[in-house]
Amino acid sequence: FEHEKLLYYYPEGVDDTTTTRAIGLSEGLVRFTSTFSQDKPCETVNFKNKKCAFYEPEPGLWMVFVAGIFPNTPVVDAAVMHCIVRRCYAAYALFNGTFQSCLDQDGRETLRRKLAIFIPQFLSTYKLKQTPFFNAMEGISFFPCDKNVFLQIQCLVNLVEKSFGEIKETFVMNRDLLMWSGLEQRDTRTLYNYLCIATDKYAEEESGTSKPYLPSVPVTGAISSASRHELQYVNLLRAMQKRSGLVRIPPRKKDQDDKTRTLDENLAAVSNMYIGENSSQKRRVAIYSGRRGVSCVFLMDPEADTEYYVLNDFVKSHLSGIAPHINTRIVQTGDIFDGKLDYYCLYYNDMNNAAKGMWSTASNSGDFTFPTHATHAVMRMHNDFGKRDERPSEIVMRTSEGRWLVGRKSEQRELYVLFEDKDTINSIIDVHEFLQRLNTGYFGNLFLD
Amino acid sequence: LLSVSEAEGLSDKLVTEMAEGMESEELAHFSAPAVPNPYARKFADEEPSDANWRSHKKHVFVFSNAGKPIYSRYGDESKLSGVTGILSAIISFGESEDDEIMEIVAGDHKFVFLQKRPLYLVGVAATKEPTKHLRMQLEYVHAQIICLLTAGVNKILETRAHFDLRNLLAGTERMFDNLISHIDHDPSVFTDSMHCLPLAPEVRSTVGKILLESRSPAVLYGMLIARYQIVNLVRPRKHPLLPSDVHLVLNMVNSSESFRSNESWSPICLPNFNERGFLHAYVQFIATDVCLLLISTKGDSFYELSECAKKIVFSLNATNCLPEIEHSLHHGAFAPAATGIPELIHFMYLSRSTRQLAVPDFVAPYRHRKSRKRLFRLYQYAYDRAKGTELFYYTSEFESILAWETHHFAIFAVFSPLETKGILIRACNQLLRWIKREESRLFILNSPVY
Repeated sequence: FEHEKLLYYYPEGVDDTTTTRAIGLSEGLVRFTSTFSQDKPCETVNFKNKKCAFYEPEPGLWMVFVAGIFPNTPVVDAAVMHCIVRRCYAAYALFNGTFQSCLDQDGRETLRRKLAIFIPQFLSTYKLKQTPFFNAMEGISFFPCDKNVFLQIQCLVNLVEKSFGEIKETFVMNRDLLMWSGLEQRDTRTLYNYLCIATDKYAEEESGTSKPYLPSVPVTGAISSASRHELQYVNLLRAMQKRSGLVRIPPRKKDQDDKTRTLDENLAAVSNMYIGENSSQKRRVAIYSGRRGVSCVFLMDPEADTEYYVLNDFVKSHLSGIAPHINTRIVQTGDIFDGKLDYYCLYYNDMNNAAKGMWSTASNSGDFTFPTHATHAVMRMHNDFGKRDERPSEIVMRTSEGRWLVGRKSEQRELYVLFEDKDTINSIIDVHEFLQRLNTGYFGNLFLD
Repeated sequence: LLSVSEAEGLSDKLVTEMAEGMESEELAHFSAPAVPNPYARKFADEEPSDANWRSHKKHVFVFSNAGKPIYSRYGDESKLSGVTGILSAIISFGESEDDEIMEIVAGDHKFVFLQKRPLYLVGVAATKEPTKHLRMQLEYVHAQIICLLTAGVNKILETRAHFDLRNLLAGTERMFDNLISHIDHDPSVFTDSMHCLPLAPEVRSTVGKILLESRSPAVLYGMLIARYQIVNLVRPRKHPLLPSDVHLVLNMVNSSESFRSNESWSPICLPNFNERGFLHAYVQFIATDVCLLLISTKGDSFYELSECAKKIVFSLNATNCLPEIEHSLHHGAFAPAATGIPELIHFMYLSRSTRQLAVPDFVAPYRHRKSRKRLFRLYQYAYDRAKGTELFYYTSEFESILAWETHHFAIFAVFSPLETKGILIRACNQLLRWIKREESRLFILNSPVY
């Protein structure tokens, strides 16, 4: 029966007839489209007033995300919608394991409860407006390590893992830049996306000040009876904002004996994560949130014991040695045109999901955001590079306002450049020349003509 | 048969009468000829359960709001009520929410919905075409129905929901098949333009003069057609013939073998001109593949138009136009090299003011059907992406294409992928100059008006 098939519905409080109809239609669409498209299931359904993204993360289990289309409001891109629904599943699976495992072990009602508590947390922390479009490509920004910094991080990781045998994998980030990951690609991306939410960048944009952003969920429905453990998705983020070392450890008061320090009762007794194929490997997780934006995630054997205070002090002392070196590396890559040309550049490598943005000092020198008027065009180019049978290598367009936009693909690397300068760049030949300079200057001739 | 003015303001009863009358009389014209049709529809036996049926690259379904199948590009319509029933249910879900379903995407497949109540049209395509183009094809299929039956068909279905429209459309399936297939090959359709037969300007203006001077009062439109190209046409000053109507006319003339043998007299509705009433077309093939078409609002003017046609044919022969036209038809296609630009391997030039398209012949590397089809899809893609831009450049291992858009024209030029951008720009400018020099030969610049 339809109402039995429903595992979660947002918004809350919708009557059964509506939800049953929605399920019936969704099933009908999936079944019908599969008669023609056997390998690739239903992805997007567009109505005049709404758009739906369909995702089947596990066999027989579907997620549908519906976005409204309103007059005078830009329509959200289908790729962005798919990105959101995939991230929602990935985040759920990271903290809870797969849907099927829950159904098998604990039954349907437990899964319903878990979703009713998890998804509102996810939605409350996901800022649609702030999704840099290239995140829909699932890009990760890597920290620009030189050999020194890289070796120091590697050293730290090895030391910690050797001294604390229960640690299986380590993950290190600086603000929203990835420094080190011992996890597989998929888990790296999911954990990276989660930790990005906790970075200061979003805090500033959200509150307009430099006060830390404290995520919270509206207390309705199942959330009102949720335990601390069940709210760990949001609580962990709040705790990380405090930047006081290992999450769960309150700072040592003067002359306080370790034995009298109690663990922070506001947090989960044990933070668990599920990684690997089918999210089947369980880990107990300790997150160290340090000063100057460094975060370390230690994924440990769930059965082993850990002396948290020892780990906290260990990491703190070793990080304090490295931290100054790390922060001097965060300089914006020099402007190859010396401020004489207005441009934005985006690089993406599909092999390791690396994404990097650069922009000229002539324009807004704040945080990197690719101008919104061009993001849709770049997403279409990205789509063309991936989907067109001819495997195009370059697309150039001049908008009706006179701006030039170029996209190049070489093997699995993509480069997009937006030239805002209508005076200097007059023709496609100029575009070509400036792009060659970028290519030679930065990319070691990766993007051959 | 009713004239334009008479068709308006019909009561439901009269419409029903008309439908019933059409069923018996007019059907005689549209129905299949008595001899076994050597062009029987190739896939008419397939059923939805056949894997072959499902794997066709483009399906088109037309059905009523009661879910009754009316037309399907592939397969036996009588076996399709399952499919059209589901589609109908999907559509009504949208309606129940005060919304309208537009499109479904699943992998490479697109399902595009067009609602022209009480008719519904759905296209299922794995061709990677832009959605706009798929929807435009459905609009043409709908226009073809109107062309055959007028908008009166809506009233028929509204008053008799279970009326089987296939009765009225029996024998015309090939016309629909042809239309869909033609739209998938001819870029003049998606560019909303027409092809003209390349002709020496003197010959073209002679033809125009003949059409104008020989025109009798009952003639609304007169045109000389060579396959899918226009030689010239005469029209009333206030009613230009739009490309969408022209394509329906070309499709009608080229779909049916019966027009080739004798003078024919056929009702035809031109939706852009007036979707509520029939016009009447006098059709005569005056040479192989050269057709004279005279359209009138008067249903009883066959003899007048026949006399008019005689005069036209006489004058065409007297001025020696016909051999010129035939020569151009069979030998007049020019190769891209004729432009004097060796790097150019193909192009498409759209004149926005005259709504006409110039396209050269296909030479290497586009000799074979598969590569021509790929080029066609590339033009579709470039046309869609270049909208709103001034310049659009796209290169792959196969070729480079440069699209240049202005208010007056749009040019799509294709080159080898090894050519530099400098060469492309130079070549485009050269091409423009060549087109300008040749325009009186390539386009109908001033068709006669009265």
